[in-house]
Amino acid sequence: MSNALRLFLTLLVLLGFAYTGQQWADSTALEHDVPPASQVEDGGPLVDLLGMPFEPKSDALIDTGAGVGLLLLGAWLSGLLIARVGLPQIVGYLLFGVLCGPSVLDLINEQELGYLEIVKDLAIALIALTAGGEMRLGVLRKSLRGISLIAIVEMSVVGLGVAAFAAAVIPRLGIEGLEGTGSVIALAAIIGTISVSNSPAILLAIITETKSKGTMTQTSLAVTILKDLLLVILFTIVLAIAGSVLVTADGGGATWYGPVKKIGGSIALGAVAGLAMAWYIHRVNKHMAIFVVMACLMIALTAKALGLETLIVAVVAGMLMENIWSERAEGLFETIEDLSMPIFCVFFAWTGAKVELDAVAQMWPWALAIIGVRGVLVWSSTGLGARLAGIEQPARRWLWTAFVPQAGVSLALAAIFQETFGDQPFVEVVFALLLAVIALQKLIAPALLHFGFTRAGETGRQNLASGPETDAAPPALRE
Amino acid sequence: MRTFLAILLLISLALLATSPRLYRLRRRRPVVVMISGGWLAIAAGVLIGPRGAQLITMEQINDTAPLLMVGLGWIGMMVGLQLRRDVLAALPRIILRIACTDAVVSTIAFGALAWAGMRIWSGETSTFLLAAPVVLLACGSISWSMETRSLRPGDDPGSKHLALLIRATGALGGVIAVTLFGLLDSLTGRGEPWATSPDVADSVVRIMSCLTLAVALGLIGRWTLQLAGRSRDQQLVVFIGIVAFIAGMATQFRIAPLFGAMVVGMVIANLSGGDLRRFEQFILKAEHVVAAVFAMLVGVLLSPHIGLPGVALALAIAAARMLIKPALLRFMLARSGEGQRTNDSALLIGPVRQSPLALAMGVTAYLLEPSALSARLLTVIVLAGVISDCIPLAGGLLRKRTTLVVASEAKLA
Repeated sequence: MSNALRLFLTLLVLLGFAYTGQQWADSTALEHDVPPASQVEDGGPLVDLLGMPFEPKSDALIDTGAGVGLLLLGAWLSGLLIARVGLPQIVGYLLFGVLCGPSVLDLINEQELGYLEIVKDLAIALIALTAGGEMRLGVLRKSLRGISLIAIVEMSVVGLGVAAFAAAVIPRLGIEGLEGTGSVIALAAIIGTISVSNSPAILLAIITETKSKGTMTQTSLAVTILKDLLLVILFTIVLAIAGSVLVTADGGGATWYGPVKKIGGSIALGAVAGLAMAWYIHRVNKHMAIFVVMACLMIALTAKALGLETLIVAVVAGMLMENIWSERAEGLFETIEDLSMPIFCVFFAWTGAKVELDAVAQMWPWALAIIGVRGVLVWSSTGLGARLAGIEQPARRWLWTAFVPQAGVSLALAAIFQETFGDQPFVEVVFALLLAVIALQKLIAPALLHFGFTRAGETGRQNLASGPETDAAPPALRE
Repeated sequence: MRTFLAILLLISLALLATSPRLYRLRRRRPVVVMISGGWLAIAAGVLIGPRGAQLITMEQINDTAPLLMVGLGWIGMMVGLQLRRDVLAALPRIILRIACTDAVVSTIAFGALAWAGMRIWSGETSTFLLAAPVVLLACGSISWSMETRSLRPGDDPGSKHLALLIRATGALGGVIAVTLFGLLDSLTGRGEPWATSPDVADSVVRIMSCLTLAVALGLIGRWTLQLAGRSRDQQLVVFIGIVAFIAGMATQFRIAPLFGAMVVGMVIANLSGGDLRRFEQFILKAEHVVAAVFAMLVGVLLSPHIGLPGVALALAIAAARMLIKPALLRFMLARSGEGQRTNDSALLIGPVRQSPLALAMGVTAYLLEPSALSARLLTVIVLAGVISDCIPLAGGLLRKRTTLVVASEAKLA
């Protein structure tokens, strides 16, 4: 039997067991939803043998344990299967997530996805820490002009272009109660700003999977991080302006000092986290896997609690580790590499499970149109920015593919939009449109990015074939 | 955030507990007993738990149920991986005989004791309602601790052989205990507060489903291990994936996750070759930390409200262990003719000590039915374990004193 067939059958077996288990749990829960009167004393709660109140366990919490196992094994096997047709493994992880999610088989329901949110936090921190570890200050300092140029050109063209297109689309969506050009422009500006973002997670996952190295790899990572920093400022400003035009959920607009607090606080927390991690590695240097997981969770949850940006905090921590204590940090980054696969599997499968196919089905023609426009704008603006920055071929031709994928960051921005404008009549339609755009790009773009790295000749296999690996900075970064 | 801080605290303490500095203290016998029995970690759990400093609340512990499940799956898998056909075939018959006899005697004797104790404690007369606690306490009493270092065995070949025998029978007895617990517990209606009588057909279907899943996952595990090869990250995916899936699914079927994971481990152990060695090394690396975290979780779950009946039950179990276990070992050794090889009294009292798997069974019961009763039964198991661990320690002190007195008398004479 061929390996592909075996993989497929194994996946079917796993899904079959998960489905049977869920049906079993559901049927017994329904059967015994109301306990017999003999077990209930005077209408009070159930009591155990010693007369103590008894609360049956939460099924969702128990199912989460099986859910983690299913997502982990299933996503990994799907990744291996999809790799056989030449697509990146994360497409397999995402598709398996879609299959298990509430939109298709509902093996992992909304409540369980909520419990698994901690994996998302962990993955984002881990990914950002790795990205920070890739940023060498010496190289960055020399190439800041080039990177900034690409980021600014790309952000301006894509943001304005998509906003203009969205302004033309919004009146055709039939949103009730949306009056005046100001409101349309405000909504279009929000859609335009969200379309600027791209997914550092997908980028890093593909880099890890293909073991890519070279101009396109380093430039795309640096631009993505810079874009994320700028996006925090831009989105807060746009939201504040839009808030003064559209009515927000709490009746007020966003504050202007928000971005300063967010970025400054994130950098400060990142520095503290970096110092603490360096101290641990220097003094203890044991149980690295446990340490990395705990440190990443600590970064993610602290940032969340303080209203800061996890991505920036972890990037700063990673940069500090790499640039100040690089020798000591070597073990840390090796451990992160070991841990990345299980975390990527669960994270991308979780992201896939979050895809709302209803929204896609409802909005797909408009979503495809926006994706098309965005794709063209990303291609043209990145090409222009890369030319101005002096990036050489073939990286210049394929760099744009790195800025197409959208996932977690874009979803987070869409969620902030939904939260800010609460029950306004336009929220449901625009949110569904955003979800559809992100979902489709999430599923299509990783393959494009994989193709881009291959054509740029930067994947591990190509690097090996072309001779010994070099860690040289890309031309644009050399100056 | 609070749940995460609770986990962070547990893991930090676990790392501290496994640090080399603490390891150096293991030269002292009481410290060996405290650490290897997990009592130090359990005490730390009590101190930080809802009955102590309240750094961890019951709500947070309930939120970490998936973590508990994976911990139980990890333990079950480790037990199952020991069950290799070639190893079992090479074992001397006496080991199998002792382990089986102990299982039968313990189930009957401790089952009867637990039934009487629970009847007095709860005032309940229904055999079905008493079944779940009785099965837990009886199965928790099967086998004994596999640790022999703290017993300070002699250097003669006979003592070494006996120490090996105690460890091997302890390990095999643990497997029998987990199997019996997994099978019998599913008949007791644990996790079904509405049930008033056993539903045997339902239990059989649940057990068969769990076993089918476990065997299928074992086969999948064997193949995926081959796929993962030497890649550590892929091995991690396979291991956590299988452990979490079987533990979660077994819990869904209301079967002990410990049992399900053990079966998976057993299938993998008997079908894999070189990949298994790497896999085992990989699992064993985190063994101490997982055990310490688990013991602390046990400490957090303990309930001080067991009252006099609970304390009496724990004392009765410990006393029964003292009466039954060494006698059983001596009897079996004498019957097989192995009794003449050694008369190391320090080792012969070793089986009094409770198997650490009893704690895992107590936690399984809590996971399947998170009630005050489960927490109290876990407390009884812990108390019985502490007392039974103290018996050989006290015996050792007494022997030391007697030796000193005899020596000084001889000197005077």
